[in-house]
Parts: sequence; structure tokens; C-alpha cells
Amino acid sequence: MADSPYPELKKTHTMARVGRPWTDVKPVPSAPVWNVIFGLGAYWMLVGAIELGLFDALWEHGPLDPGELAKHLESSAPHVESLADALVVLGLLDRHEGRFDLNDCSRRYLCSESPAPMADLVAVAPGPAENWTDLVGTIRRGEPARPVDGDGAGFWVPLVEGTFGTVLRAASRADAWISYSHLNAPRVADLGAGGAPWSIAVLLACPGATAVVNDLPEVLEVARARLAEAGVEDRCELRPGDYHTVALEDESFDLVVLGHICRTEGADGTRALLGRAAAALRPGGRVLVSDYFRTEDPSRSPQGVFMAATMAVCTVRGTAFTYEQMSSWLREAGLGEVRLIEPIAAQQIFVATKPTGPPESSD
Amino acid sequence: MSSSNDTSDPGRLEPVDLLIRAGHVVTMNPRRDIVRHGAVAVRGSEIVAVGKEADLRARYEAAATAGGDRFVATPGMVNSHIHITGEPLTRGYVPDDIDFAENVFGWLCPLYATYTANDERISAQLAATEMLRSGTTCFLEAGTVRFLDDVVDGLVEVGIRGRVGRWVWDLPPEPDVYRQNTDEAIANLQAVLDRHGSVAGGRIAGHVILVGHNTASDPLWRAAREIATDSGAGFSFHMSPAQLDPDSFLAEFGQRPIVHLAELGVLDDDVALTHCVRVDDTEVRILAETGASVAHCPTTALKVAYGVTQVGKMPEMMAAGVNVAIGTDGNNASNYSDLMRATYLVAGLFKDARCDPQMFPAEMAYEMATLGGAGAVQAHDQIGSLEAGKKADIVLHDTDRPEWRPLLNVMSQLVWSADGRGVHSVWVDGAQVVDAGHMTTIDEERLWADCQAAGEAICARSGLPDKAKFPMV
Repeated sequence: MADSPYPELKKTHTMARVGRPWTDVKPVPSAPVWNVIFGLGAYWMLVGAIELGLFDALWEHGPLDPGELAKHLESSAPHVESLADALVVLGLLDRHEGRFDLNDCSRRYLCSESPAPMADLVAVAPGPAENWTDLVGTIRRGEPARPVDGDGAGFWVPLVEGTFGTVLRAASRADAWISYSHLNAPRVADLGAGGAPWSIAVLLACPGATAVVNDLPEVLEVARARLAEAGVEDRCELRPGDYHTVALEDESFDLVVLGHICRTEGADGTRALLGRAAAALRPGGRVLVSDYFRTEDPSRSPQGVFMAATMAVCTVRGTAFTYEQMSSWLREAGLGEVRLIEPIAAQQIFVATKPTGPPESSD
Repeated sequence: MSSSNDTSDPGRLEPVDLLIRAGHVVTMNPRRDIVRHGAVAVRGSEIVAVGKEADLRARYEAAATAGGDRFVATPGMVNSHIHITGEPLTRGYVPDDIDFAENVFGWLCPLYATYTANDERISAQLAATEMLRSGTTCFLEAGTVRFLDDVVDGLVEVGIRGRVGRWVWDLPPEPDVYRQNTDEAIANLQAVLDRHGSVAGGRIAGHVILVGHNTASDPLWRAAREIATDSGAGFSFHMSPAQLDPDSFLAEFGQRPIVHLAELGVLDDDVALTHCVRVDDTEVRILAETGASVAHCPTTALKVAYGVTQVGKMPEMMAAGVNVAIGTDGNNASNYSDLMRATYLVAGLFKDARCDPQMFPAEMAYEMATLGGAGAVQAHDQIGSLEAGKKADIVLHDTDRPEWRPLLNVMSQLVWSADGRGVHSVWVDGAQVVDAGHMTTIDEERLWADCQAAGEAICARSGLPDKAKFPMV
């Protein structure tokens, strides 16, 4: 038998004393390149399936063959089958005996009635598609041609609507770690609140709680509607405006929430926000910084690294900060007891406490 | 039992630096004598004599005395496997309900990689402090140190005895800070011996240590063997705590790990393998034939669910003549580094697992914690017992404590009742490092504060979330 052009990797006989054995001996697979090429299509197939109502059809009708599914979607059967097969490959559907069905992932996250809905998030989370097609220009210029920073109605309103459910779950589950429900009538400052999921979670858990809810005027309309749906609008004061300058009373709040806002602000803006938060907290109060963070080693924090790239193509100062940066900035702001919690997958929150003063002497 | 090289005039007292008195002196000498109303005479870093206090007072004039009748004197214990960096400052942060692979690759490796040089220095000092204050005077590091210069500097300040090595492997490509090719790995092994072969009079010394498991190529295994043989330093590595290692070796070589290592010529009487929970009878036989030691870490097996009571062959190893010593491992697999508590588990686990009360009597467990450990670190001629000519590594247990009274069977009390909190005084190389339960060599209050701050900072910047299950109000 002829020798293989690329002998199999065996530690026993290929482990040279220099170099990396797995690249010295045979070429690396091309799978990472193909994965990226197919990545564009994968994203748009998920967006399309949600827009067509594919997941909801399977939720409502159960397993369907391609023809039945196409009929419910009022679409071409061969094209629906092509799309659904791709979703099977992506791990978002099952196909048994020719019939498509939801799997555990799509049942939990991708249907309108899912217990942890993410469908609204898919279309808006990566930012505008045209910003990605201008990636090279953005990199050369050092900033995007069409940043979304001030586009309250066009970008932020759909984004906060899309992210509301996920963040509300994270905020509600966070009580298991930080126990805000035990606070006596806490006062919350929710800066850049979006649809105000954090305020809603705390106000629902604490009957006496009140909140100051801040965001751009058009975004606050989303918050107003969500607060009303939750029945807590009468305990909230809406303060429209820039969170860098909106009025905040010193030492008046038990919780200050910076929910997914720091990554648009750059390092200086973020440190300024942490300083504002520290000043606004009562002694013993806590700041909650929810965001996507990264490690120095990019391979350990893919979500943070991708979010940094997303922010760079969409916003003027956007990035993702390292865990080390955020934890050290919290301490620089005079806060202590820094913790990192993850109430639900991929939703991480730094929690830091304003000191209550020097401890009493034990003498 | 007692001895002296004194040939001077009869009636003239020979000077010694220190006479340590104890109501019971547990010598661990070849006859395992326990001396009532005994004493240990120390000159410089060595024991001059062990015997009845009255006899030693008649022969020696001590510059200082310590102890008293309420104390039990023992040799310092030897912790045969402990990670002094990477875990002490993140003690308990890793959840206790995850499997081996997630534990090691999802949590421990990233946490280790987050430590800075100063973090590792104070981590080593915290580990050494906990060991000394609970009666352990010598340890064998697990070989997962990254900043060895800083660690050795910190250990010298604390005053413990130890055998240390760097994180050395050549196969895993990550974490990035530990990536090494085979040449670099071999150079790192040699550098440990060149830079730290003997520090502080040999109290701290480099050892040939690989991470082990399935992380080393055959050329690296062979090179490590050559370096250990040439240098005379001992050789240590992890092997087969879980099924991952045998599965990996069987898939790659068609042989179980210890069979393969024996075939490579790696195993000898200077080798200490850590864990060895998943071994078969052939591997036990090879361990006995080669004279290798095994570091049994009962707390890790319990917390990480290795199944040691289900499949472990420690009784068979003992029966075959393998030197089985005891380790406490890392502070996320075993949150404590008190070898007395681990020794308690060694005595008890297999009694219950085999429904056999003759398994691991207290005396045997204590031998494993002292003489067994001394053998595992290749220092059986220096430590592990209180005998003339050995290093003055001595522990006084205070028996004026509820768990020590009444004192009717000292070995039973040492293993089944006492723990490290009863340790009152400790000497290493004849120098007192613990007095009245507190360190004499370092500022404990400052160490606690530094460790708390560093631990919180490491966790926060690691990106690994707090998984505590009860809310923090």
C-alpha cells in the first residue's frame, strides 16, 4: 500500500523536539475557513426562518414534512426543505423520518411562546448589515461611516425591544446571587435602561422599591410601555437624556444599574459612568455592570471578542473591556467586594459595593 | 533510641541549642517508640538525641528549652502532593458539582493562568502557612508553578521545607501562558534544577516534575527520566485520577498508562505518581516492582468524585509493598491543606469501602503521612521520624484541648481525634516557625489581607462567574 502523503499523527514517532507536532506533520484542516464562509448564510437562514415563522409553525403544529411546512409558511416546498435541512445542520431543528421538528434549543429560545425567547434578538444583535459590508472601510478610517450611537429610534429602540426578554431573565435570576429582594424599599437608578428590564425585575421583587429610569427620549417610550405592562410604572420616574449628564442625586440609591451601556462608551466614558454610579450610591449600595467582557487571551472569551468587533463596526467608541479592566476600574471608583455573576448563560454582571466606612475597632 | 557522638569528659554536659520537651514523643523510629516524658535535643538544623527528658538533661546543656508535659511531639508530616499556586487564592471558587473535565479545563486551567507573579508568591506563602500551622513541615509541589523564582523567594521567607517544580508539559496548546514545545519543556525541567537545585541550605529544592496525565510526549517522558537520574532529584507527576488517562493511553498506545511508562523506562524508586485511582492489578504490580511511590489524595477523590472507594486499589498497593503517601492536592479539589484531616480520611475510607476494620489502622495512616511522605520526596534519610542525625523538623501538639482529652492512646488521638488546629509549635531545620499556633516568620495579618484582596481580584478578572448557590444579602 502506498504511503499516505500525510502520515498519521502519533506522539510516539512524530514528536520532534522542536515545533508543534500537529502542524509539523500534516496540514491543518480547512474547516475554520469553510465555517466562516458558511457563517454568512447560516446567520441569514436563521433570520429568514424566524421571519417566515418556521419555528412558530412547528411549535403550533408539531412535526411536519417539507410540503406541510411549506404550506403553513406559504412558501416554496423545495426552498423550505433546503432551509430547514440547513437548520438541522446548525443544531436548531431535528429531522426524523422526513419530518422536521423543534429540538430542545429552538423550543426554548426561538419560538414566540418559548420560555426564554431570543427570536427578536437575532435580527438586531449584530447591528446594521451595511456596517458589516463596510468593515474594511471602518478599519481603515478607524470608525464606522454610519455609527448607530445617536440613532435612538432607528437602532436602539428595536435593539432594546429585542434584548428585553433575555435581560429580564438575567435580572430576575440575579436575585439568587445578590438577593435584592431582601432590600427594604430600595431605590434604583437604571441608566441607559432600554426597556427597563432591571427596574422591572427589582420592582416586582420588592413591593416598596422605586426607580429612576433613564435613556434617550424615544427609547424611554419602550420602557414606559414595558413598565406599564408589568404594573410598576407608578413607582418609576422617567428621566430622559444622556446618562453622562442626567441629574442623579448623590448617595441616594441602593442599586445603580449600568446595563449593556459601557461597551459603547470607551474607557474614559466607562470610568466616568462608574464614578457617577459610585457617587449616586448610598454606603452599602451596589452597582451592577452588565455587559460582555473578554479575557486577554481571545480564545477564552469568544463572545466578548465578537462583541468588541460588533461594537467597533457599529459605534464610535465601542469595544469590549477585559475582566481585569472592569474590576480594577470598579475599585478605582472606590467600590469594593467586586464579584462577577452569571445568572443565565452568557449574561455576566459585575457587582461591586460602596463601602460603609471604616470597620469598627475590635478592641 | 538516643544517641550522641560526644567523647568529651564524663560529667561535662554537651551543649545543644534546644531541648524540646513533651509528655509523649512519637518518634516514628524503626521500632516506632513512643517516649513518655521525653525530649528531643537539637543542635543547629539536626536532631542530636531523642529520649527520656531526664536522660537528655543529664547529658546536654540546652541554650533554650521549649514544650512541656502537656505536649505530644511528632515528626513534621510530609504532604506528598499539593498545588501551592493556582488554587490557594481561589480556594473554593470552583463549583463542587461539576465533572472532572469541566473542573480541570473549564475552571482550574483558566484560574491558574490568571495568577500574577506576586499572586503566586503570596499563594505559596498561604499554602506553606496552612501546612506549617497544621503540622506539615515538608511538601512536594504538584509541578504547576509558573513564577518559580517568586515562589521560592516566598517559601524561603516562610521557612517550610519543600520540593518544587514548574508547570511542564509539551502537548496541550493552551492556556497560552503554559504552551511549550518539547525542547522548551526539557529546558524548563533542567532550569528548575539549575536555578533552584538547593536553596536555603537545601530546605527548598528543585524536583523533576511533569504535569503528567496525557500531556507529555514520549520524548519528554524519556528526557525527564534522564534528568532525574543524572541529577539525583526525585521525579513526580499526576496519573490516572479519572478514566481520562487510561482511556487516552489505551487509545494512543494500546497500553494502560503505567504499563506504557514502565516500557519507556520512566518508573523507578525515585518516582512519585499522584492519584493512581484508576489502575489495574498489572499496574499495581509494576508500581511495586519499580519501587515507585503513590501520592494518595483522599480529599480530592471525594470532592471530584474519582470513585476511589469504588475502584481504588490503595489496600492492594500497600499489600504489594508500594510506598503510598498522602497529599491534599489543590484547594478547589480539597479546600484545606491540613494533612491531619487527610490522614483521618486515609484511615477511614477503605475500612468502610471494604467493610473491613483492619484496613489502614491509625498507625499505618500516620506512617504514610510521615515516613511515606519522606520516601516519596526522596528524603527518607533526612525527615519523617525523630531520630538522631535527622533534620529537626518537629511538631508539638497541645493536648489541653477538648479533642485531645482524655489522652489514652496517642496514635488513635493523632489520627482519629486531633486535627491541625491543635498544633502549637513547629520547628523546621531547628528554627521555630510556629509558636502558640501562629507564624513567627511572617506577618499573618498582612498575609490574610493580601490573600483576600488578591483572591477577589483573580476571580474578578478570570471571567469565571461566582457560582455560589445561596444569595449574598
